[in-house]
Amino acid sequence: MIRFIFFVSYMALVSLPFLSSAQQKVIRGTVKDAVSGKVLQGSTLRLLSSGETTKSDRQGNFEIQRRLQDSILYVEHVGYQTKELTLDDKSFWEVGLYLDNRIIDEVIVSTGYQQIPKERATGSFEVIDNGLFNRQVSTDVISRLDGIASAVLFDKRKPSNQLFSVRGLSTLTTSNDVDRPLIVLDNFPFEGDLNTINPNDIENVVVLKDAAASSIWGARAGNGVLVITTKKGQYQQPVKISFNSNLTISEKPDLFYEQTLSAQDFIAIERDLFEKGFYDADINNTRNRPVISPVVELLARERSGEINRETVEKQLVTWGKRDVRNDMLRHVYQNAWNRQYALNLSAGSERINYTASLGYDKNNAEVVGNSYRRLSVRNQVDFKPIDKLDIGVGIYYVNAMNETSNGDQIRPSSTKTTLYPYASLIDEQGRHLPIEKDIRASYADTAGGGQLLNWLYRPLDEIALADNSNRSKSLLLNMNVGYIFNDWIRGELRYQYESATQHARNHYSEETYFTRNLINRFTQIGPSGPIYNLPKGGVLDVGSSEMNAHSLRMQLNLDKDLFGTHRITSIMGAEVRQKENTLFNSRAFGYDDDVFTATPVDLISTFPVYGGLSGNASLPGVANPFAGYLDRFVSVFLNANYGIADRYNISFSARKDMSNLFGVNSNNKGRPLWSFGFSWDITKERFWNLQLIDMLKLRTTYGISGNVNNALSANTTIQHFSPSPYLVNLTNLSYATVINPPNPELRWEKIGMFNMGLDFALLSNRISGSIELYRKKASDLLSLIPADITTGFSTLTRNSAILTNRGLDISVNVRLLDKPFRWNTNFLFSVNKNIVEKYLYTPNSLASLVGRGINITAKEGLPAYNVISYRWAGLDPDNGDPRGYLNGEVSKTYSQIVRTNDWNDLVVHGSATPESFGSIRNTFSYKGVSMSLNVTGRFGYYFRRNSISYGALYNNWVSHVDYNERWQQPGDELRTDIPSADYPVNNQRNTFYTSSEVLVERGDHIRLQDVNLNYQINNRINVFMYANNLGILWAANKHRRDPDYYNTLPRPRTYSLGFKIEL
Amino acid sequence: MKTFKFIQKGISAILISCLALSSLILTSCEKFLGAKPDKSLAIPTSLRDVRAILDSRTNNEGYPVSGAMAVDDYYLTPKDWAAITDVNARLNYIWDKDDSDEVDWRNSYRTIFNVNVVLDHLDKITFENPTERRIIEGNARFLRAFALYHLSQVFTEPLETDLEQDGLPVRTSADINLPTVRSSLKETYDFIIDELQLASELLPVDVGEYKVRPSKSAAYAMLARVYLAIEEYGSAAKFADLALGQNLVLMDYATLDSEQQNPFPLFNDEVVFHATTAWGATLMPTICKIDTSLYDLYDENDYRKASYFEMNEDGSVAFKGHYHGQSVGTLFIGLAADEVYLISAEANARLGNLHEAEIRMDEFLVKRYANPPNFTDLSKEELLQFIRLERRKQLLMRGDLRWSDLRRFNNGNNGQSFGLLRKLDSEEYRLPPKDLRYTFLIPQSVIQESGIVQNAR
Repeated sequence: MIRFIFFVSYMALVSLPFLSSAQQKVIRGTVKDAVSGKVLQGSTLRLLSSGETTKSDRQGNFEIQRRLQDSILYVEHVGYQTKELTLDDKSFWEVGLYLDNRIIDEVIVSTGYQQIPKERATGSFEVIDNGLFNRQVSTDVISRLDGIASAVLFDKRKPSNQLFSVRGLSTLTTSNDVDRPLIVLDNFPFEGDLNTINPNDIENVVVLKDAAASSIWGARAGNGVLVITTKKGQYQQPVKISFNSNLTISEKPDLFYEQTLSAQDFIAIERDLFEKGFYDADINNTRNRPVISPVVELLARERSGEINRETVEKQLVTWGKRDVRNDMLRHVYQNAWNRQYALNLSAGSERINYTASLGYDKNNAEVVGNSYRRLSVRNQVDFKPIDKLDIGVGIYYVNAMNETSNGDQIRPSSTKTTLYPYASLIDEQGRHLPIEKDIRASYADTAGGGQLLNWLYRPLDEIALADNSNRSKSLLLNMNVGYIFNDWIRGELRYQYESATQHARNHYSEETYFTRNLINRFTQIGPSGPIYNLPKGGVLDVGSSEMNAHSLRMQLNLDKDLFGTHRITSIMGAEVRQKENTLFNSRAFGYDDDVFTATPVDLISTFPVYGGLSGNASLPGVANPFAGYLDRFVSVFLNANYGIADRYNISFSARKDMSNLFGVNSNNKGRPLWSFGFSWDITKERFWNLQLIDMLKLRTTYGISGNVNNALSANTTIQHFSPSPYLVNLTNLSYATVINPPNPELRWEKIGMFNMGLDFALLSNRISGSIELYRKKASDLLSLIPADITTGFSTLTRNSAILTNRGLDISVNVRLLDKPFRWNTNFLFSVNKNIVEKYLYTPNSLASLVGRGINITAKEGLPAYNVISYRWAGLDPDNGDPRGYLNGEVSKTYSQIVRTNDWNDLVVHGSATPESFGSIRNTFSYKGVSMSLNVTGRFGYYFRRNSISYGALYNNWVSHVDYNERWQQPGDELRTDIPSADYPVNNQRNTFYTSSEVLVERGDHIRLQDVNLNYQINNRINVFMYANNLGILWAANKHRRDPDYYNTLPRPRTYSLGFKIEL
Repeated sequence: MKTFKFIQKGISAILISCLALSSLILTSCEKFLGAKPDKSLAIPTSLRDVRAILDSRTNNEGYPVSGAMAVDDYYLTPKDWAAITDVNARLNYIWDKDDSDEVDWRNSYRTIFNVNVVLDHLDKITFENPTERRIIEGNARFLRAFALYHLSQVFTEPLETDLEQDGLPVRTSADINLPTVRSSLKETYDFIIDELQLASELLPVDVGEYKVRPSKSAAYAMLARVYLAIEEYGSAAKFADLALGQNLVLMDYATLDSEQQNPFPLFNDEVVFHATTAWGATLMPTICKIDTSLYDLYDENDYRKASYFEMNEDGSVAFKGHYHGQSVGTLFIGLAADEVYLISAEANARLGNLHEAEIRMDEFLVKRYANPPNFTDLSKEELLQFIRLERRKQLLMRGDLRWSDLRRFNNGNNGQSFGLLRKLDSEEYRLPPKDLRYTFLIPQSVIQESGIVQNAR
């Protein structure tokens, strides 16, 4: 029936012109970009009354039959403002169109292999254009995508701000960055440090979301692909110079976000434990003399009669008023200052164009002594010696330096991971104070009777003494030659060389605690004075790494019109890539930075350790000084698009990758990957006459891409190591470890994705956007599986799992108000649900799935990152013990509960990563002023908040204010879920409580991410203000935890100010 | 039509050039893609590779410690015991029937896997010198037997020849897909002994400074240790004497600097083969204390009194006589000359060769005492008693030797069975002779993954 209606309307439409009158006149003309003068092909010209339409051809020329009643001609081109011409008697029109900045969709998207007009694409592309990209302020490229790109989700649970996924997870492996999307810079995968790319050199970023878009990247496309395109010059363009600069200031981090106990409470706990004898072993330990806190030291001195009770009490009152975080905020943290300067220059004549840029960034981070500097220089020249030949040469050089003081990393010892709250870093006179470090301070202070170096650790001294830098230099050279064989075949040859060197240098001068401690440990006091087995002087750690990557690609591009309305565009080619990494580390002792000399040492022999603090030990040299990695790929690829009458597009791609996946037979190294797609632009049908709808395009694709993990092998592999000088060196023999048992069935991971999309534009483009549905099935996933330890391995890795993602991406742009006051709303919303469909191996006990969801715990039927807890049965009213369930019964047998294999004892909350997320960006503008606010939201996930763990409190000094709310007497169980303090500590009781369901919260929240205020003073000058990380507007949890940063400090607010001048 | 033909021509031209291009690439592909991705990786293909696998220090460390932790060589104060965070260690100390240490099982079977990798690849390697192959093979077989024997002391019952007893899974291939099956206890010991005998034929007399590698004398000494544990005293004496024939050296304790934190250096002269146990929380020198009644057994002119012990500040006694040169909560479980002397003496005495036993004791004691005690004219039983006391005093805190001795004495063949007692405040814990808890439970995860039979409780 529907088909019939279509047919009738179609017939009616096509017969219309024949029915109308025959009075005609031909109008001819050309369509050009009004600014660049570039001719525009494929512009739609439509006469208002008769409805006659035509398109501009390759040279921008058009020809249209005007009827008598026609007086208005519309000229439309995607990405340009529509022009309305009132026709007079002129028969030749030169039409200049202006770019329409309000339309997000760029005309052309780059896949890294070719430029595709989005109009003709079947795949799913998300374009972040230059305007949107520059709305944020940052030193790097990647973090700018947060909250503005649909389907792109940043995982902020780990410290890096560059962890993101495109359309969810496609693998269960997270090591070696196997779960990261592929980053392509212009034409080739970018192998270096992403931080070295200067965002000011970037024109736009395209996210390739579905198989048709990404599968041209084959075995590396499984996690999605990001194509970053740099700015290019244009032919016949006057000289353009622009300069921009901005300054970003951040607040200090909110240390009080950490819910640690007050000094007074902490001291009370230590006194209690002291009475119970908890510290006796440490106090009486005259061997390794472990760290004990100042309070315990004080109490021990009181017990041995050195000081009286009164002194102790007085001292404890003073200490109880302290909070070391105030010292930290004042002396360790500062307001971060980031400065950015960028100069761009571009110009083009008929035969040559170029663009050049210079960028400089200088950041002083929140931690005193941490800083970053980057200098980037870029130059790209394209020229056409003859019409058919074009040659491009580009160079991109970045020099960066990172300095780190690690001033915020204060760890009293290997087990005492947090500083006691009553520590003081500085006294009233401004003298830097020592804290407990590694060995008991009372011993360190007096050991050696003055013959040793000072053994105390003053954190603030260390910040000043830090001399730790990492310099990186990266160079990107590219060359391309294109030759037009005829009007439809173009050949391309591209070569890229990428080189990145890093030079890390950490100089611990003799004044640093690190060096003093080492020297002292290896000092023996002989009759004639100290003997230094580890020479006096500094310790210098030098590490360097070098990465070299070569890529060569040969490609043919075909573009041919057939039978009048058909068109085939295709690329085919082959490429070879190689990436080589080498690393080198070394350490020198007795180093003198003034004269560049070091003392040779014996790294093999063992020496006594001062005071018998440990058994004899060898000097701590570098464990594995050398490493080298080599990745090689050979690929052939084909991509074809067949268009019929501008309405139907069929796409196909195929690719075969082969890599040096170690130990696999060559046959198994490759796996053909392919995609197929179809699109239909309904509005281009002749029968379409709904004026309300400007564009309606249906797309559907299916394809398979892959995922490579070169760290695995099918054969027994061993890894060689240099003699290990750490701990006590056994021998100077080099040795090897078997790292991989044989696995002859190893294969690549395979990701199949189905995508269905609808692009639309309504009401003269006032409303536009797209809706996409997808299903992604990742199979043959390598997953770590438990094994019988009798085999020698507790876990093995096998191609064993299947993971599916189902999702929805909606993006809608609405021009609510237009001129003079404009109001645009951009709405992004994504749903992504992943489920582990197949997971062959079951863990020893279901309890091993319990956790925070930070690591993948795969279980059939559950999301890969899930939050599972022990079921909670309340506190024991008698003694405040937490109670759970064992085999369905209320139980306190923690040792069994934490190994339970019964679902009745556990609670599955759900996903640990947001299952839906989105943003609403409102932009208001009036004349030159515009303001844009981005509100982001994340929904459908859970997180586990921290609480008190008595084991961690006693042994590691990790405290939590929940301690004060703990069960203390019968009846308390009615008001609290926090267990009573136990002694001796039962760690499994702690594990049970901290992993129980009472600590799990919903992560849903809405956040005001950022605000941008922009003033375009005139054509040349633009100033802006920008504020980021503004805060949470609503959160589902009532514990004031930021669900994105519940385990780390939230990122502080930042404020930026900047300008851009164009000449 | 013309267009179509043109396309045909064009496409075939492209296809031909593509084919030519890809065949060019693909022929050189094999070599290009054969390169290894991590330069430190290798498939074991050379002498250097298998040598390096055997030299990994993991093959000399991490041997079972559960038995060593359960003996009466030391005690903990109730406070120190309560402060231990490792639950297994706490349970071990009070001989809880459910205690089982997964680490012990994992470490030793990992060593067995490493060794199996070497043995599996031996035939694929071309050795320039047949001796090299013999040494590698001997080294591998020795380690496999060494690991299996020490597992047996923790996870299997003491051998009783007239019973059908479960032994250990004996894995002889690195193929991880092979099932895990318990052999009989007799088969387990037969395997251990066969491997050691073969190793003793293959191994060289001298391994130079590398005491992490086994020598011929190590294989003999190990055979003596195994035969003693299963009470085949004739073979124990034979192999102990064979080992002693390989120039084993006794240090003169008079020359030791007993003031040192660790008077016995790593690879000291007595060490024949270096190996250590896994870390045991109860063995940390700060809390691990020696009973005064044990300490009092040492005579004042016994050099061991000063070189083995030191006084803690609270007056308790700590042990520092570790033969691996450090006090860190691990124990020396390797082979040393002192043990071989004592095996020879005990086994010979047991066989009635009292004269031989006395000679061994003479040689031994002169290196331990300023004035060795007189032990002439003792009856066989008295002499045995004397030797066992010296064994107790010499091999204190020496891996699982005390644990094996307790298991051996408990069967009553030596007329010396006795139970163990531990006190924590008012609680008393007892381990009576022949108790099932002289055998630890196999880790639950192994039972679950492999389905083998658990030990009796």
